[in-house]
Amino acid sequence: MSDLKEIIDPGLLSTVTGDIAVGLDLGSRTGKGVLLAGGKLYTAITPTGVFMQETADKLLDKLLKQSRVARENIAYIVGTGYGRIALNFGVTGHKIVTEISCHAMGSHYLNAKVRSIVDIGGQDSKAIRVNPATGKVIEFIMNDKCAAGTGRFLEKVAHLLDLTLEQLGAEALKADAPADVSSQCVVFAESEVISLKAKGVSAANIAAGIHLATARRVRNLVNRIGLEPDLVFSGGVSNNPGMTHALEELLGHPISKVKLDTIFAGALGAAIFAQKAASSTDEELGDYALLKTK
Amino acid sequence: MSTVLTSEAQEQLNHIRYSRDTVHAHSPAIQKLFNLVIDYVDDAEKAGKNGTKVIWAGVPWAMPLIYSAGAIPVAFSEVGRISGQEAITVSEDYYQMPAETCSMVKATAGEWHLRKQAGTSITRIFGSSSGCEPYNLAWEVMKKEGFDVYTSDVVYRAPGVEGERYEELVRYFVDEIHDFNEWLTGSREIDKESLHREIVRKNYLMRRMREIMDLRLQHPFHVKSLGIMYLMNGLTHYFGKPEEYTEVLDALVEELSGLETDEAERQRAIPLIWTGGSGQEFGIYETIDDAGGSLLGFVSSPYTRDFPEDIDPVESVARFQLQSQMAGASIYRRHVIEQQVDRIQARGLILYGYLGCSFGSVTREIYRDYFHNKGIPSINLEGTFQVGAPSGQLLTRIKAFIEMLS
Ligand code: SF4
Repeated sequence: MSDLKEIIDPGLLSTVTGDIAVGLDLGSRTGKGVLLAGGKLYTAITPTGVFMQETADKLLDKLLKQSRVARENIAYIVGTGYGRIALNFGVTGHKIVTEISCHAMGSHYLNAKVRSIVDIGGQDSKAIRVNPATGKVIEFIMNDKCAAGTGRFLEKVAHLLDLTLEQLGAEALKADAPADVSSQCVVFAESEVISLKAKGVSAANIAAGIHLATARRVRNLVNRIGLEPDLVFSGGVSNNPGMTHALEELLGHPISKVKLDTIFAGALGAAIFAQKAASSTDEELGDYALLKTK
Repeated sequence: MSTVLTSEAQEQLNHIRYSRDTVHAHSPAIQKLFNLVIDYVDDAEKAGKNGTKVIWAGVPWAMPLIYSAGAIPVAFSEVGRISGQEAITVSEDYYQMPAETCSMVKATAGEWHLRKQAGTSITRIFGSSSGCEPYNLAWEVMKKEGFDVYTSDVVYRAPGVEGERYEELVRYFVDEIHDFNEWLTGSREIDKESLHREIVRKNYLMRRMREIMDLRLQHPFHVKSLGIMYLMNGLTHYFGKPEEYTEVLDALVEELSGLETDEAERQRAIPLIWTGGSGQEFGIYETIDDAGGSLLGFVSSPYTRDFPEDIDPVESVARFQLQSQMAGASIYRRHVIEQQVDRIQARGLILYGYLGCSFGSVTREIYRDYFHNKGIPSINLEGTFQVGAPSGQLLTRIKAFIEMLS
């Protein structure tokens, strides 16, 4: 639990209303939740199960327990992420919004100057440009056709190096001569990793090489929409320090520090949308016409 | 022959029925349209069994000519709607087509194979050669399978080709049309009176379509995305039933003309342009509708200008094609997109193509860049040609795109 004052960009604090709102971001690997109530922000996280509704209910339970808010006092819920389609919250008002809009809005509320976002999740990676005046998406591009540049790819490599995903990023930071991993295809990279191992290249150097290869892929996405500072790194891979380092190196630009683990950026954006929906009529939503739709 | 439908295709059929009976419950014209869609291939198969000449046809310019010869064309584009994973498996396993080959080619080749096995009455295929390498491969495969395959040459009008060079292209094309007629009817002689009648019909239908598209600007949600997609598809081939298709367009003009303008509906719609093939993942269309998008501009089927009626009809076909967006170079289509952007005040472009089509992906990139620089955002979608559920990411993209424009 944190004070909203400490997390939200001071310029936008006054737009956060008193309504109790929940944002649930059901990613392919992890479910994240944010609850806004009484000037506080609560977060919850859980692995995504087979049934999205169960994961969503579990997140909601965790948030309610922490905040001691009664379920019937929730004004609105917005669901987002890969599993959003399946969500249903009975009588509580709810909508679904894509994770692209939610990551943009969440990042905007963490730092109103943000204009670019790199979002690397379990299944896909995205580069998003945000309007700093509204938090709305101006342009986005998404890589979803293969595992290169996604959390899935890093997970696979971690496994080959007998490391956990968390260890992989930390290991990469120990590198003294990052290995040259030319392939961006998960299938070929796998054999490259095996042959690097056979040549005696250290796990740290292989890990760094893999992060750079992944970051190159993401850089290509970012280049297509044009990088404009400030830049936020969000999504499940964002708390991998090896990836942050590789991205900063390749993009030649620092990643802005914000006061919330950006794995929650999408859920925060969803919660902000939920607040807007709770306190406005559809007509008043104006700019947020998306909330008028199913 | 009753159609061999996989369970995926059955589901697709249910989706069309749902769109007919529920989504378009307010529109008798669109309901009639969906009946034509549903019966197209089955009825063509029946007509073939009863002795009518029926061919698979993948060349839009040839449709008036095919009708003028008393034959029925079954457009390749309809194969996607009826073929599922089974057809793809046949192409990949039996014909050894690489997995990354265009899904359109794999679906059509596989579906034809399955239909041959089931005793189809449509055993002739007319395609265009050289335009697409994967299809050239498919023709060879289909010949071996026992189909009577004929391909005509693609006539390509490079940017800026005018004057004598252009006239040469027209003459060459006229020759191609006669060659095709010979394969179709056994004679190079074309029944020009009949072809003229078909051209007049086509012009009438294109004018009707222009009226519909104009009326839709006032009533953007009367015809939903799937409905407009099939309306446009039908403009090429009439679902094998020109008179019935004409009735659909006439009825729709009447329907739309009788509606009262609802300013709120008009304001709410996000005007979009669709260019490229029609995807078989119907979830895409539903997502567009649900997110408040309206496909008010269409660039896949040429309908914005008429065939010349005062010249020799064969030459008219050639000139129509060479003047249209289908002439070859992507610049011709780009002009049409530009006109549509202005006409409907488009807020975004949907550039759709099939996975594995290298031609398509290059043009889409050209358009993306060009329109991006003009301040028109676009989304590049790649889907499959055969039926099947769209990937979650595809839907996320389209929804996020419309959210972005809202
Ligand atoms: S989509 Fe492209 S590759 Fe596929 S058949 Fe058409 S032109 Fe050929």
